[in-house]
Amino acid sequence: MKFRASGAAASSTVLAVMLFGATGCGAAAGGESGTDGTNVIRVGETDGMPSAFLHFGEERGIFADHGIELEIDASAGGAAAIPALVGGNLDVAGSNVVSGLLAGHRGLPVRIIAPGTFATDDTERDFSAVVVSEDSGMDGPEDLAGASIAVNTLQNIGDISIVTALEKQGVDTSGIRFTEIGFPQMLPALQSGRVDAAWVIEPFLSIGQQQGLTPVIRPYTEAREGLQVGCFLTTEEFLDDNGDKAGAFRAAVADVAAYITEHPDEFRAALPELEGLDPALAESMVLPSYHDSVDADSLRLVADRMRASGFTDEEIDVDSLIATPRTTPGRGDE
Amino acid sequence: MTSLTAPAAAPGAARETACEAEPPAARLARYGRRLAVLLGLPAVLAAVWWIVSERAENFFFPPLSDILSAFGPTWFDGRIAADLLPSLGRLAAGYLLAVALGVALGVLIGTWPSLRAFAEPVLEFFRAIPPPVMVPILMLFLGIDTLMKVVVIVSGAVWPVLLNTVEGVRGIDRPLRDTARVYRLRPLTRLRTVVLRGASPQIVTGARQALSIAIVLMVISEMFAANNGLGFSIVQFQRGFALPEMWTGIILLGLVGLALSLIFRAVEATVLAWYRGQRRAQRGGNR
Repeated sequence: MKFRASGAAASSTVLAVMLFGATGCGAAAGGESGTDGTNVIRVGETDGMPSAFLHFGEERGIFADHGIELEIDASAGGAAAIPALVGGNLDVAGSNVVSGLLAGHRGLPVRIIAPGTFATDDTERDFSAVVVSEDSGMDGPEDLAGASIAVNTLQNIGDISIVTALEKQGVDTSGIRFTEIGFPQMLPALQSGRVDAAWVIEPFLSIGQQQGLTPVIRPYTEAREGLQVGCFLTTEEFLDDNGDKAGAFRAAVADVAAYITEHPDEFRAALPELEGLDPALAESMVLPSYHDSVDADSLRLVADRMRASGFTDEEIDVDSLIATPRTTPGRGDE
Repeated sequence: MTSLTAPAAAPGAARETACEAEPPAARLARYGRRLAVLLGLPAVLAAVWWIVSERAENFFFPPLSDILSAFGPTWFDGRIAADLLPSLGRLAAGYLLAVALGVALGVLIGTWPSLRAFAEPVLEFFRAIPPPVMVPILMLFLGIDTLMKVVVIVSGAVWPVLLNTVEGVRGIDRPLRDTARVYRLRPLTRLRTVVLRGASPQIVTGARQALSIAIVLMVISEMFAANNGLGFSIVQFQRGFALPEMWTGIILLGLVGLALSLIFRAVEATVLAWYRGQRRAQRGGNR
């Protein structure tokens, strides 16, 4: 889940600023716990909902409970953060699962240590959907055959999940043309008829629905209920040298996930302040699901589909790319 | 690589008109030297790259041998037609439009000082806006296809041509203009033989700067709403962590730039042959 196509960062600012306001949340938000630097983890995560998850966990003191402090860099997430991760400028990078699997498969020394966002279990209600305009005459998934669909990043989780979901419903996907357009520009492009359909995520999904756009398919949950779409990556080196910190991070992410699952309203209420989101939108939009551990079956499905779509020639060894670091007793956790 | 001989031949041809013919053996030796000078540095750089990268273990800087062996499969299995040609088409359209527009406006603005005073603040304003910032807005009006990408190229490449043309036209010798008027040259003739010709050294300078800007913007325009193109391919490879393939794209982009600048020099040699002759004459005859 990304709010910005990495290449199109400059362009998205125009609308992103309108939607999120000025998000003055660069580095570490909560700095009251130890500042000697030894317990700091530098995390790169996509601006918007993904980084809101981390900021919320910090604000609730959950990372501090595990003895770590985050330095959140919301300027780079996904494929753009991975070079910074491998280059040693970040300790952990948030990414969608496609970029994460691809990086590991191509031989970068990265491992998936914690899950990010998940789709919901409800095919009628998810935080991402393919929307069409009301007067398009399209009202079901079958109408997407031969359509042009806007996605934020080509050859990534968007087109993969759309093709998977449509094929599951028996729709011919061979004639679909995907076009890369940043999320903020998608709705105008759809309304002016430049594309037939657009794959959007929240909050753009809610905004689009308010403007009369109709969801025709929710590709994440249609591809697989509760599909894992985000993950946190770290390097083999960081796991070797800082296994404890990685373990504490993993445990803290699980706790933040559990906390948000139990108190979704608190998370919603924090969004306007954390991400400059319009309060009405924060209240009404569909939140992603959060779970405490990496869903290997989700990743295997995505990996299979990546191969079927020609992103890779060989099978991706998913299990070898997942690491489950633990804290040694007596430090951090408990 | 046959085009590499073009710049060597062009100034040589120009010179032949100035001095008398030389024996074929001497000419051959001269061409050989020029070729060695031309290819020497690239060969050294490529060799250094090859040697340094061969041992490097860095994922983001794969060995040059890997990059070169990826070059063929990456580009010659359909990508030339699917990605390179659409890029070059948009580049050519955008660049030629920018030059035409820049020269046309530049002549108008350069000819009338009052128009120049009137237009200058607006021109400076628009010149300062980086075209990538305008892309989301342009998409609303022009769509997401070729037209938008060509306009992005024009919007950045037009400025050096325009501003240099204005300066060139302004700088034309006053007596020369007056003479043309006294001789009652018709306006079109005056435009062609006095104004455009007089301003052509500056126009060519602007056009040369515009060429490199146009190449940059060709790449940038393909980062928005694209599904083909050279810049698009490079970004896709990079995001897919296909690093050797990404480097082949970068090398190809460099080769395209090189080829275009060689073509540019050939055109320049023809267009400005008179100017070189004049300069040489001013400096004191046969060089």
